[in-house]
Amino acid sequence: MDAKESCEISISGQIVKAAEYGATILTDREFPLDQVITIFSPIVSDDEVPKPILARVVATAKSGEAFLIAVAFLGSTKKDLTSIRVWLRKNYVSMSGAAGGNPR
Amino acid sequence: MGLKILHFGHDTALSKSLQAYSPRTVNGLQVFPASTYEKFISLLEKESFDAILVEAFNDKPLPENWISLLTKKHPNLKEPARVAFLYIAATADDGLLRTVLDRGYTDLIAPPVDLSILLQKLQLYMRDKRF
Repeated sequence: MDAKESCEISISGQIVKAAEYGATILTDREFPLDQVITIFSPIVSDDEVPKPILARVVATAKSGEAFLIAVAFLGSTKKDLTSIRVWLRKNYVSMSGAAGGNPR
Repeated sequence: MGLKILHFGHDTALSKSLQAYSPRTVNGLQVFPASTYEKFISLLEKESFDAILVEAFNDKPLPENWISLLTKKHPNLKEPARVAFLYIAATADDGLLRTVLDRGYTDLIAPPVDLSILLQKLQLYMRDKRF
């Protein structure tokens, strides 16, 4: 049957840079500037459960066959910022270790 | 040239904090506080701003579509000189965030305002501006 109902379509991407205020994501789709998207990622979580966070696309660039999109996180609460900081600290340490860096 | 910020709030605490942060930025900040509707409108008419911060309490008397009305009246507020409209609320939740985005605000900020994050976000919103 024919239908007329709204839906949400999710696509996958990879966060390649992260900060408290936003992130850069590698994806196979280009997003228009200013588009507001919902990101599901462990970078913002609620008791270790990924929490959806709204983000605004602020820059896009082509990277080979893919696209890099820079986003700013919107409406971050104190709890969200704490979650992002914990994620950044944890991943900074693990990436330093993986690269052979001294974690001290 | 420094970043010009209009702050519409019931007190000047955030304006003072931002102004005090100015020496830590490359080109400085100029913060214009407005605590009354009349002063807010008068500053909007007289100056051009890079960012407009409006506290929830002060937003109440403004028309729901004031950002749309303002950008229609002053088309130069759009590209290439982008203006960020930030809504400052006591608490943030998904429903309020979606409401303020629908009304044309760029972002919602909830206290305690981290000035470093706020200014880095403004830089992202204005894209090519540096401060």
